[in-house]
Amino acid sequence: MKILGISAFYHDSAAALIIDGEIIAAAQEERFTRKKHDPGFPVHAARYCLEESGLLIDQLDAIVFYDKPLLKFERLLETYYSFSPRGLPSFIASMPVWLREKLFLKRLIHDELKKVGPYDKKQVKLLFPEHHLSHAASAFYPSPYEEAAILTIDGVGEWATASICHGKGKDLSIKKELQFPHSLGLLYSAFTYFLGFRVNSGEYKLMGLAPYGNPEGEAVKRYKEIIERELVDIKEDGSLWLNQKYFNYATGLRMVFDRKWEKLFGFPRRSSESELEQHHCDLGLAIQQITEEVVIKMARHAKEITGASYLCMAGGVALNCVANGKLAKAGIFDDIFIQPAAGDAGGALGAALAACHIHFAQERRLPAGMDAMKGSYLGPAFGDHDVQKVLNRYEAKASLFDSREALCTAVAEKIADGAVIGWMQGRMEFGPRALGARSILGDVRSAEMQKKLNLKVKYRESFRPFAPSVLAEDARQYFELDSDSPYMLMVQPIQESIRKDLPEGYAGFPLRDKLYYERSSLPAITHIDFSARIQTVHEETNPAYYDLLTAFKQRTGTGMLVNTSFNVRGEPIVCTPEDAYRCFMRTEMDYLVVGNHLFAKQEQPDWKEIDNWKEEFVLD
Amino acid sequence: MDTQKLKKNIKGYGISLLITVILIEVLCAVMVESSYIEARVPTYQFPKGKRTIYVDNNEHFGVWRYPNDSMSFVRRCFDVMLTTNSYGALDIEHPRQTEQKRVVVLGDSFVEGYGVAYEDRFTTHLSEQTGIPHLNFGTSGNFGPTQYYLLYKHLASDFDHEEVLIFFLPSNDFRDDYPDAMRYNPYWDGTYPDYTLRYSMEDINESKWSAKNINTSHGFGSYARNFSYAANVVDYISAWLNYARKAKRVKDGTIKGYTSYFNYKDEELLRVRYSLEQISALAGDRPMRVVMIPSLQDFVAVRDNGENPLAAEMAAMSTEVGFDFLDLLPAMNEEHADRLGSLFHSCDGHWSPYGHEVVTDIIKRFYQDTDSTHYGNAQGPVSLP
Repeated sequence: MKILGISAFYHDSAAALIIDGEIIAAAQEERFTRKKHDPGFPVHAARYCLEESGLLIDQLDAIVFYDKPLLKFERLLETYYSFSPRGLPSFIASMPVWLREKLFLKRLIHDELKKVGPYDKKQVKLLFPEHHLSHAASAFYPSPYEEAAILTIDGVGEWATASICHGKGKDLSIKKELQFPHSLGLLYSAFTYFLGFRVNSGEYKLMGLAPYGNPEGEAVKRYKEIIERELVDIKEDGSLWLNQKYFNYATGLRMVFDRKWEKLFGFPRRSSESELEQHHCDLGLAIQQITEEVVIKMARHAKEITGASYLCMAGGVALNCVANGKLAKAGIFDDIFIQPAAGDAGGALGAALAACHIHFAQERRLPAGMDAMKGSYLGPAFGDHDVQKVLNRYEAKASLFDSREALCTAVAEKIADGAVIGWMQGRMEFGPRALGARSILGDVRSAEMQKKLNLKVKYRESFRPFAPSVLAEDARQYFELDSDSPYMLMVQPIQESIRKDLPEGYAGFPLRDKLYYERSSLPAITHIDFSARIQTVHEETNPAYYDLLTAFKQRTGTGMLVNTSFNVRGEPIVCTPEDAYRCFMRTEMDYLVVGNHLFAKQEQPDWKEIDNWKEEFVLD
Repeated sequence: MDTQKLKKNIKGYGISLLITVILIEVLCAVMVESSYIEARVPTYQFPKGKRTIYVDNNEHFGVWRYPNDSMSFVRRCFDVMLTTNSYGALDIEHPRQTEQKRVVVLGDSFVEGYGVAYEDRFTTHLSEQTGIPHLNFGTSGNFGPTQYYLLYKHLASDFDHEEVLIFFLPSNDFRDDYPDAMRYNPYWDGTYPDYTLRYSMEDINESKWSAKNINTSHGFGSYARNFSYAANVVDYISAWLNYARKAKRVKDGTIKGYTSYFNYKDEELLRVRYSLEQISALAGDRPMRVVMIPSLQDFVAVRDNGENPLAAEMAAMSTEVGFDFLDLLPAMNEEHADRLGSLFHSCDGHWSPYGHEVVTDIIKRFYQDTDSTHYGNAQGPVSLP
């Protein structure tokens, strides 16, 4: 059974291919088009998936789209009715796209598929599972569990904004749903907007900002009290209700009514790129804490109604790794699996899996390893031939190593000496996290590394933390981690033993003073609250990266590196060796590794910028 | 007096009267236009729509409205356009089938939003602020609990919904359950729980308010208000005096009169109970909520008596029948005791736009207090079409 899953037309479009339930390939369109969060039809990603498998479109048993457009349209219409005439401008703004494209999605998909390759329209079966079913399937079917509770939480699909499901074998049933406009994802996005970040992409920045709030201060308590009194009613089972008096997303073109929020919290909406102040951080912490409480309550309720021992999660909110960490610590379930592409991109994979196991009733085989995601290395890989093209085109210089061992020894030494390395190996990651296939790496022990990476390499906000990749077997030595975290989706505290004492009144320090205070012996990855977003690295899923960490450990005694995505702010993670070389040359990275090739910055010819690349990528 | 002298006198009086009327009209226009008096300004247009859209035209529950119709509804203190949808409700159009969670709202003129525009009604506010459409099936016209049940059975239940919200107005809902000599209205006959549904008349066409007998043309008052400043100033002064008188009586605690928070009979309450039981049975698993509406007199009566026996009886009934109950009186009193008058129109006893806002906030809190969950219905095992 050969099935292509597709997500598109909202944000993070993607394609995924499965054959007899096995995940063969998956990729986001943005990586190919170089347009962050590209919502267009994933022509390139679909073409790649087919090439990876050698299949033609005609050979597919089904093409599955990740949601039901007509149901979504119904929601749009009925929301307009409910809020009439308030939502008229938004309604008028959205109608042309619906009438031109989305209502005729079958035709649109067929038209776009023609760009992927020739095929006979009559031979292709199109299926449309619901949005949250796609999320649920993406979380459950690749998980290592025969039976599990499934929690999906995001902004909104058709009607559902969150769902609790039960999966057993190949069967999946929806137990509870929360409906639009009441949405934890949209609540979080509303705060993302109010605090000056971009909705649908800036949520992780808000998560990174929150720890700068003062948890012992009165402001956070007051903000939480205001939020729970005026904005949201939260029940014990985690279901919630948002007071639409304050929100504008249902019918308007903005997330919230700015003036009402300003009156509520006592300060104006932060404009993008303006200075972050303590009250912004405090409000960020308040909503983060509320989000964590809701996620834990939902999970507890999921446990109650399913009786399952394991939990699977997906949906955009499942990318909130701070909440995930708190959830894991709560010990409600024996273990948790979170789909690494938890956002809408993962919907493509979920849609294909739902079709396979629900529509075609194919039996599900439990994965032999830790899960069926293959470490999420599901994208394209490139060989020496592709590197040679870069060498030719840019007259670049690179050393070719005979063995991975020699390469890793050399690279480990350079990192230990303070170098920043662009690291590209094997198949590209599927999902928003760089997991050691398209990563920028640095020394975790360096106190200067966070500043250097943020300001000279990534060109992003200085407050944002960096994550560690650690040898799986060493993780508990440094972190209070109860289980593996191969997809960098868990934030946990670092061990007490490596923390440094903080000065009195630290919680009340200004943001910048807090930021550059050395808090542990791993300063580059220790966030303001002693937490870290951990990736445990496993030999079976990424041997090259594992070898590099091992070499670094042999050199320094620490089997851990700073790992951040291989891109600059606003740019999608690099895909090809050429993308990697261009990014390398445009930033202050010291070395680039592609396969067994090592590029040293000082050996490269002068970089002649032919375009204004800082404008090429719109700041996110 | 000879005829010529009489004619001359009449002419003289006529001219004097005309000059007086013109002077009064000019004086009123100056006062209104200079905003000295905030009375309505004449439109100099003929009244739009029908004089009334209310008609005894439903064989099950009696009074309802002409569908897709409108009327200009003007009183001393409000001027609103009422527009009905395709099924006769004063509401926007709602599809009968939907996957969206919705609430059916039953009640009388308070629910309908007597004298307030659509955008000012509490059901509109609730729809907007909860994101859950509240389908307004309230209507004026001596509408009581027996009719709530029959309207729910024969009309409202046809619309997909997940909750039922009923507003009970003691000050006239007990009385609405008796046969009305003028209208075609249903009532329960017998003793609890052995009631028979009867109607005040055998044929709906016998009603003075039936489509056959009702006069939907506009009267003199409508024309006067649309063409004269003076008529609107008279309206304004009358409303102001009424409001001032009422406000003083509320302040003094001397507002008395009929209050059904105390003046009701057991048999009347049982008939209300029976109607609520019937609605509950029809609603099935759907949550049902009953909200009790106090009139201005009820606030004073409860304050003077220091107790609220009807609320206690309704609360007990809610446990036995199986619904959530809220008396608006304490909630309104708690935050608005010193300005209760502002919650009601100055020219009649219904809620003002501000009253609707206050009720919206109270109902939202009621939802939060009584909802055990905000999750919707489960879909169960899934399949792909």
